[in-house]
Amino acid sequence: MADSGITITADTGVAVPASDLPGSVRARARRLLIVPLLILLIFGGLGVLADVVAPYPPNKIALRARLLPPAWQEGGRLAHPLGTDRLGRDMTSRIIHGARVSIAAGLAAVAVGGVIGTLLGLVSGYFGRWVDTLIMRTTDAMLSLPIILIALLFAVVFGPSFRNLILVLGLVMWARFARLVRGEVLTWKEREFVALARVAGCSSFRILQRHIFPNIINPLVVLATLQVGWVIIVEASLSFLGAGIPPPTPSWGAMIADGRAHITTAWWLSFFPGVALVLVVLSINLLGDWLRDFLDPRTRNLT
Amino acid sequence: MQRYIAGRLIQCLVTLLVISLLVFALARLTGNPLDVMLPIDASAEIQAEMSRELGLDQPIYVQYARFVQSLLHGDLGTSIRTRKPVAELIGLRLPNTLKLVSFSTGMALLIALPLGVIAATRKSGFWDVAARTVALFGQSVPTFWAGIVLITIFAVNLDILPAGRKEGIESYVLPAVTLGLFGFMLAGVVRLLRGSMLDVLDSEYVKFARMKGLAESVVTWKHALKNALIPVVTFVGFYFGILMAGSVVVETVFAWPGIGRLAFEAVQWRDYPVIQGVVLLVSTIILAANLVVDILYAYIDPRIRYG
Repeated sequence: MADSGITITADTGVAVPASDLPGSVRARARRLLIVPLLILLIFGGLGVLADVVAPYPPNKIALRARLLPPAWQEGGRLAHPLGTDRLGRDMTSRIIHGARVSIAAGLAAVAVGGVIGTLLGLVSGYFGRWVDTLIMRTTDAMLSLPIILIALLFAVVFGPSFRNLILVLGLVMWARFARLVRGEVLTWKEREFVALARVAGCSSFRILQRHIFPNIINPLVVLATLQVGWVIIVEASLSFLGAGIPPPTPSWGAMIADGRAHITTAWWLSFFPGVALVLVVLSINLLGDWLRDFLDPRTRNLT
Repeated sequence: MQRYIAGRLIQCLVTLLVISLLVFALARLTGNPLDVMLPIDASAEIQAEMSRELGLDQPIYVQYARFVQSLLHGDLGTSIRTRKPVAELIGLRLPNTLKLVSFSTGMALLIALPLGVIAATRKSGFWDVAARTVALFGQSVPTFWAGIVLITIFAVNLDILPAGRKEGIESYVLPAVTLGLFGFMLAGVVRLLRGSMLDVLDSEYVKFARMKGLAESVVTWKHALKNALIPVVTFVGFYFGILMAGSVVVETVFAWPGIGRLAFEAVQWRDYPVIQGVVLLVSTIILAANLVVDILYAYIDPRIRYG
């Protein structure tokens, strides 16, 4: 119900040729894909190796070096290429550590939501009847919830923490996976090979696991990729609102929020963490779009 | 038709039921309300009396029924921080949010509609690439950062637009641009419209209209667009409510006195009843918008009714 419009188009999304873009455009697009991949690789690497790569510990306070501008501006120092914040903490180091937090949050929340949603979607699509009705009605309800507000509610009740954040985001996200998987199961379960497997005496579990699930992996990967980008933005928004990852853990959203108080004097405080955030999310979305074209051409025209 | 509406109504009620249960359960988890209301050394007698007065001695389902009953009477509880009724607090601020979200939606549509259509008619051309780029950025740039960057440029450096709440139309510009362009509405409509236009332009009746010798522009803007808009209108109706939730962030950036800012302040003060009220209200608005759009379309397009 929530986005019935999208389902309407999805139903008409009959198989289209691998691509109707001219070959040269496609080749160019593929070559350009190296850029987002590199960006993700760099930020991923920085996140994993943050303790080694970051020039300073992210929470090292140096009150005498407060609010230093980036190195190329007057008063900036080469020791702090992107400047320092109001406590003299090195921006570069905090952004590097923030990469770890953002990417980890994105992956973990998608893993939680993806697993729950996929299981429910498989059950819902395969067994049908009242199980299907129950799960799909709940899915509809979940999809029409104002997610940011629900997450705020949870943060107030349980207190902000990394674990609570992942749980909340996972819990509000499973519905998208459930809906996708259910739809896919419906199209595959009527196929002959599934009927044959059943005749051959396969259990429902085995049919789902060996015969249906492998066919669903492609669209699932596409959805999961795009969801990671979305979760990173939601996580940053919640941290910005003070309901995400609690300080002093460096998180891009919280850093942007910190900079708001100094917006007239120290633009770099909010600007650089935001650039990092946009670069990562943009790259993930580009990658997701490309994966969709490549793995799942049926849905190419859809949102 | 009646069956369809009845079905959709029941669905909405079920959703509301789920949300109210969630909110109720979470409210219980915030702790015993008596701890907040009574002094620490209150005697057992006073506690028991208070408990009886508030109905806390009743079984949990009775408590839930009472909770729903007071909701239905428009009683959203009392703010812990200000001691004012939540309904009153929300009522004062709701118009500001509605105005902001309407402006943003209008702005997003103004850009998205022509862009989506032109992108579909000139697939892989300049405008198609432009549309994809706009959608990509609209989806990848968080509103709060976009808002701060816009403030830095237009309010701090150029000093031509106000950065926050001020009387007058110019105070709407920055928040509405931020929410409209980066609140997913623009990206969603461009992508959806482009896709649905591509489908429709490929359909039999459009081919027939072309065969009749109609000008391509008439075919595109009159015949095709009408049908391509169906999923878009559904999306806009649905997303209007989601944008209200998303405006928490934008209202915080621009110190906009709407319900989003109210929710944000409530988070700082752990003022559960206020956030609960905002959640319930926004959820109801989302559901109502969905319902209205779906019913309207079931009237217009019989395929949905029987589909």
